[in-house]
Amino acid sequence: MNSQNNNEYLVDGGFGIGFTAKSGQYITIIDLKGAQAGDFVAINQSDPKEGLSAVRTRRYLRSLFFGIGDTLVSNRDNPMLKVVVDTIGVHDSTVPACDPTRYSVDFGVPGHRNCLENLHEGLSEYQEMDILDVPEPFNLFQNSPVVGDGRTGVVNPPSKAGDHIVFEVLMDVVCALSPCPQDIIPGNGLLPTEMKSIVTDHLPREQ
Amino acid sequence: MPLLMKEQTGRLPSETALDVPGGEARAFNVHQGQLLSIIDLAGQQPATLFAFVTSNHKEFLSPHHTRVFSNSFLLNLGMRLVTNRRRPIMVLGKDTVGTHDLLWPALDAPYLSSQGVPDTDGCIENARNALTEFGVSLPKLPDPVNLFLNVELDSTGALIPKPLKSQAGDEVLFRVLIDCICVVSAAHKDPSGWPKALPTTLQIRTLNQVPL
Repeated sequence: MNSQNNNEYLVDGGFGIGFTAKSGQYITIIDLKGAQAGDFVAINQSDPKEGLSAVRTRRYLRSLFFGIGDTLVSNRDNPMLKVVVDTIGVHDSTVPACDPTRYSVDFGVPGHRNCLENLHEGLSEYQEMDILDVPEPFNLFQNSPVVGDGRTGVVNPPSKAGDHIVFEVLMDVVCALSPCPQDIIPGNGLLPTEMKSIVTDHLPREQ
Repeated sequence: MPLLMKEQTGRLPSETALDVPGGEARAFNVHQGQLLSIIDLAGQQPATLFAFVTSNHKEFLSPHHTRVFSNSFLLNLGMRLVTNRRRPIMVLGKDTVGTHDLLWPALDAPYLSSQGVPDTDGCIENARNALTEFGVSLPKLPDPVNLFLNVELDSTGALIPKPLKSQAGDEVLFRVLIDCICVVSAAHKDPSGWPKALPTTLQIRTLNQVPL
């Protein structure tokens, strides 16, 4: 299902994976097939109560959105990751991870795979934690634009196969990535597909 | 007419009236069917709201799920506020201001200190203290709903702090749908976005019928 080859982590659409990275390393996340949103979280390796915070990053950046040069901060306002490469520029940090109730309450489908449990499983490979402590996700490649009157909606991502984002790691972290299993409404083109995460010591050369 | 227009069983729940002094927070019970009124007595004072389901403290009011539920970054009249389990917990039923926030974080003391307001508790500490005084310890303090706070959102996603529109006596009134423990904090405004000012008193009431 999922596989790890050195520091390359391949994860099937709709499933989750955990991995670690050290300060000074780089994390590359690739949408292998295109139009796939990937829910992403990170916590401090030495204190699982500190994690990437969408709401505090939003305040720090004065924006719902982030791009090259922007730093993502923790729930203690500490820098965790910096965006250094971004081939697409469309990401979301406002939509909570889909969870069992997203499917059972909103669509009448109990037992559906979901990002919250995927992320929890991924982090738990390295750090035991309550599912309530999984941070609000950054949804890479997810497309949740601001439309008229402050309204929004999730539509399919414009990402193509191979689009990627690279973070410079600013704190030793445990991360989890879940290519979103949403296959009922737009968001992943109704077909969850695989993603890859690569951790490297140097900024990867552009292919 | 007591509570909702449906057959009542048992006695009416007790009503609450309390003031939240500026820079403090208070916790209180609200029952299904009751109305929750929050009045900005002096004007320009944000009210930071948290709510926890009485029978399960792991279910709580979530601004994030509320946005997705209504596909809206803003809180509008008639919207259902929902929990992290996607159940409506209250509805914004009356609103004399029309400007509220679902995107800004609650403040804590380290952040306030970093912004030039040292030795001052923020909403996070105040809410935790209020819950302790109320006799409950909760597994998690979620992100808040910031009533009366005015953060403009433009089409590029930029967030722009703006002066609050609430004036003395302005009110929001919620119809509550799940028994819950609410916490309201009369918050410090974020010094990074608004002029420093001492927080002022909020008036809270839980009611069994709409005041005439």
